[in-house]
Amino acid sequence: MICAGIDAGSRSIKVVLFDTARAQIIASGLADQGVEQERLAAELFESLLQQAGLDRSRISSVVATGYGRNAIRFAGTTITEITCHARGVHWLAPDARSIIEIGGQDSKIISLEEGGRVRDFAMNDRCAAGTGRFLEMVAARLDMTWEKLAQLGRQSQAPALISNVCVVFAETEIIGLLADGKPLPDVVAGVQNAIATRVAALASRLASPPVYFTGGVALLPGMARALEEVLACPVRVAPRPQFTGALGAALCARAANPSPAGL
Amino acid sequence: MDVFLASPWIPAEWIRAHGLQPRGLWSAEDFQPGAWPLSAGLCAFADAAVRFAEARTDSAVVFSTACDQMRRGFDAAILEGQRRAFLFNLPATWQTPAGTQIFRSELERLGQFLLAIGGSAPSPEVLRREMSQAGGARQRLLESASATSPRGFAQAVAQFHWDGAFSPPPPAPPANQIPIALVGGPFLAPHWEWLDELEAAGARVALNATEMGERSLPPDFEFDPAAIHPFDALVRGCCDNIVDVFQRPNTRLYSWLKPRLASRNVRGIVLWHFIGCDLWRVEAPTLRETFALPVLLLEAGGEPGAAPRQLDRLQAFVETLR
Amino acid sequence: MNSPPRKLDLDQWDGRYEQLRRDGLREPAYGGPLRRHVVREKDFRLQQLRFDNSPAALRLWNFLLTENQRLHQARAEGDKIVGTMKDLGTVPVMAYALPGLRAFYPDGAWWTPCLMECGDKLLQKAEMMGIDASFCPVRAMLPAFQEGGHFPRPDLLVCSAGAICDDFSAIAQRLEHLGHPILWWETPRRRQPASGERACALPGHLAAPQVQVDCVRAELQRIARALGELAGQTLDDSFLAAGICAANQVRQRLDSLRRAVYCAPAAPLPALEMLVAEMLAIHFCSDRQETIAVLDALLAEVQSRAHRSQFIIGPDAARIFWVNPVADLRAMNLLEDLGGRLCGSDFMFSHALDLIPENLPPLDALARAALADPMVGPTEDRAARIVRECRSNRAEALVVSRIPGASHCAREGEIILQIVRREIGIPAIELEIPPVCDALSPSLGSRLRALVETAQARRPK
Repeated sequence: MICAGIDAGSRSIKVVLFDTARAQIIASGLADQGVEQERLAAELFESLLQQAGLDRSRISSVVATGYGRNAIRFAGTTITEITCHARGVHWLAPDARSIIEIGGQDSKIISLEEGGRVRDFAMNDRCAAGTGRFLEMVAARLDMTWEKLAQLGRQSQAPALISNVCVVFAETEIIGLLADGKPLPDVVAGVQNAIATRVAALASRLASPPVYFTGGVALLPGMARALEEVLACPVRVAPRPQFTGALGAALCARAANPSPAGL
Repeated sequence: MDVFLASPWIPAEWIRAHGLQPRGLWSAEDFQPGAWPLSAGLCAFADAAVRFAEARTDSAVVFSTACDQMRRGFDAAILEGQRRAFLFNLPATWQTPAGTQIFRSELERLGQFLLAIGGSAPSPEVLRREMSQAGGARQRLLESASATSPRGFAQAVAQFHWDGAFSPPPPAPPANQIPIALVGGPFLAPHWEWLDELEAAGARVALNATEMGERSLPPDFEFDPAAIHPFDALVRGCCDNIVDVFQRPNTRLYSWLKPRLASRNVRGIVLWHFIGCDLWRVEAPTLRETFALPVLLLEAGGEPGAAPRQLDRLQAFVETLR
Repeated sequence: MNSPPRKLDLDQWDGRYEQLRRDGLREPAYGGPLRRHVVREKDFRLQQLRFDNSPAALRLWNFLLTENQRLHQARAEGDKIVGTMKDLGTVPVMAYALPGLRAFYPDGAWWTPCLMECGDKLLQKAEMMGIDASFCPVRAMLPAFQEGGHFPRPDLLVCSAGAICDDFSAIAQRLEHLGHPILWWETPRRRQPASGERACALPGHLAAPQVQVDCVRAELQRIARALGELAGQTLDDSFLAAGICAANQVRQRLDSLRRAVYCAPAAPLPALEMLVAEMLAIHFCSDRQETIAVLDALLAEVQSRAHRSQFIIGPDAARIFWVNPVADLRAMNLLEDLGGRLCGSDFMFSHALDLIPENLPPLDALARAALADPMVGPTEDRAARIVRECRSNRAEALVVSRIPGASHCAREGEIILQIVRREIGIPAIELEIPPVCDALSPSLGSRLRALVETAQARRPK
């Protein structure tokens, strides 16, 4: 039985096809998000089917997650990211007890019981300061990619202190630091620390080791280390961090096995 | 004349006994806490109360001192020329005689205000009758809570706070949904859609402990008229039954919640508060620790675009409970 | 010792201190170079500030920055420690009336994040305890209580309730839930006496109905009993009267200092030192007697400078009246760097500057003093006092500084600005100043500079 999970995030759409018989991911893909979310999701879904040599009829159920999940009408059901990331990370790392997910527009902390059930969670979905959006703003301001930004951060000798909790004022602060001659790597490292600090404030009562870090921001060098420093415990990057939500959705599809509404 | 009350702790029966019509201001159609944008830190509910008072110069508005925002909102209303506004000093402490004495003197002072705006001094019999009617209506409302839907109950309580009448809410069959408690500040008609969203997600408000929910319905102040003057009974009844977060200490709120959460098998708490309300927001960790239940914060009065994110949070919360 | 008045940074103060020592500077036991606070206490912010260069200012700063040590010392010597919260100026007067008691303000921990440049992470820890930046910087006291690394855990915690700001009330309630019992006492929201009500005159040209004074007096009686039990001695009227008299000595000196500084044609003492000096009045920085000595020294310095016509800020500086204390002390330097000078202040405790009546029964006098708290009554009353003082001190502009997260600031500032503009028509602005304002300095500076320019442009040619 093949199940599909679609994570319609704010910045990108991720799809995972999961073979329940062999308990393995058989295809995964990512595309930029846009206005026509359902069409973009369907296109990505179709391309993965082709890639895997599958027909639509082989897909027994589809679950959508992410902020845009309700727009994916061909999904049989929708489930929130909290449940899906928990499922996905637990499948990849059964020892996980806490999950930190930093996405483009929000960040989440999920506390798991043994067995992977969600015990509690917290979300920052009001303030950009603890999200990938902050990094995007800095990257745009410095006219470089995220990845280049993160590479620079690794060169830091003395991370700058970014005191503002608001991204708008933090931008002013960063400009001021650069104008004062603060080395760029130190400023970038300071931004990463600021994000980690915001997330840690959310995580304080929920995070207990082993802590796994997932979401697109987890791919950036230095972010996991920044989180480790503020949480004072090891933080492991989940395998395939961009896809844990979509994987979890596919696993939920396996459990729910609803029929797709039709493409 | 209508006398609009900004707090359910100001006894409506006292207003009615003076021949005036008390109304919960939050139930008025033109009470709109959603005007955006707000100044930083301003509570939308308190702001709406000020705008309401400024507009309704033909009526009286009674503010309460329960929070800083309301106290200073009253200052703003007076500055804008509202002459029929009254600030009722609700005592924060309750474990010593000071609180009761303050409440008594405030009720007397409110009485003077009501006379000044056209009310008539009530006889003990009139007061007793109003207390009995109000107490009976509150009692019937409380009894109806378990037999009706959360929305039906909220509507019935809102009607009661509007005109004092008890309108039996439509019965609703018990549903096999996850029981949760809705705890917090003002929960108004425009917010009732959250009850529907909770039900759609698979949960049901088994305890409405918001400012306009069960907490606002103290039991009937039964007393022996031969032994105690109705006014004294009103003072004592009110002081003994105010259950709110602004009290110091606010242990009475937790004592009130504990048996109700247990008897209704509540599995999670949604903490509802207006953005800018420190008094409720601070209670999230205490509620978690005291009752060992997951707590979700939902905020009212935020920018209009926040609703989808709040819905997402709420759905995730119910999934977690499931 | 009598050098021309200057502001020095910490490096310059190192040199100045050595010179003063060579010249025979005599210091109290808590004296020493300012830099040691950076090294020992990690008060990094001192490296960003500029201080008055007088020995009196050195004494003031050392006095402020050694308070925690003083409290720990007092505990070690067997004194009982009373944490008095929210009411600014009344309960400490009562506590200090009894031997063996020391009172301090745990809410004073709000300056710790500024002084340590957030190095202690108190604000971060508060957020981890569920109290985020939507609450005012007083939230720093929560982790300070839990960790115990700053002030000693008090033997008794007293906190006013009722007409107090919500965020403080919320934080204090959370503190109690965390296992720190609090003696709460009711502060009714002050109002004008109604017709037919017996009125009581309060300090500060205010009035309240007798029923409110009676209520507060009864509450203070309850506190007096608790303090007496703690001290092992009844806090009777004779103790209270002596305590009031001693508190008034502090207040008289502070009044003299404020007049000497604010009414002078140019500023003989900087705004930063004035802010710190006023703060001493609330709780005597845990040593009532030493507070008097510190203020005496400051007043002597100010008088000496005035006599020599030597000022630290020249007469051309715009005369600014400042409302509300700043979370970042650096803002006071910034005001003067941009051409302003302090000519008056309302740091939220103007009632603690007024003399407590000594011709009334002590508890009655204290009740009236407590009710005169500007935060307890209508904003209009507070604004009226500000207007009076602006007029008498010839203020040319007004700044209302918002405290981030403080519930009263959401609306109060606008009301004060409205009334001041209506009554005296001086330019007035509202600024938000966080615990570390470095990032905002450019925009804060622009606004302050614009205010100064506007005020100066309005002067008659």
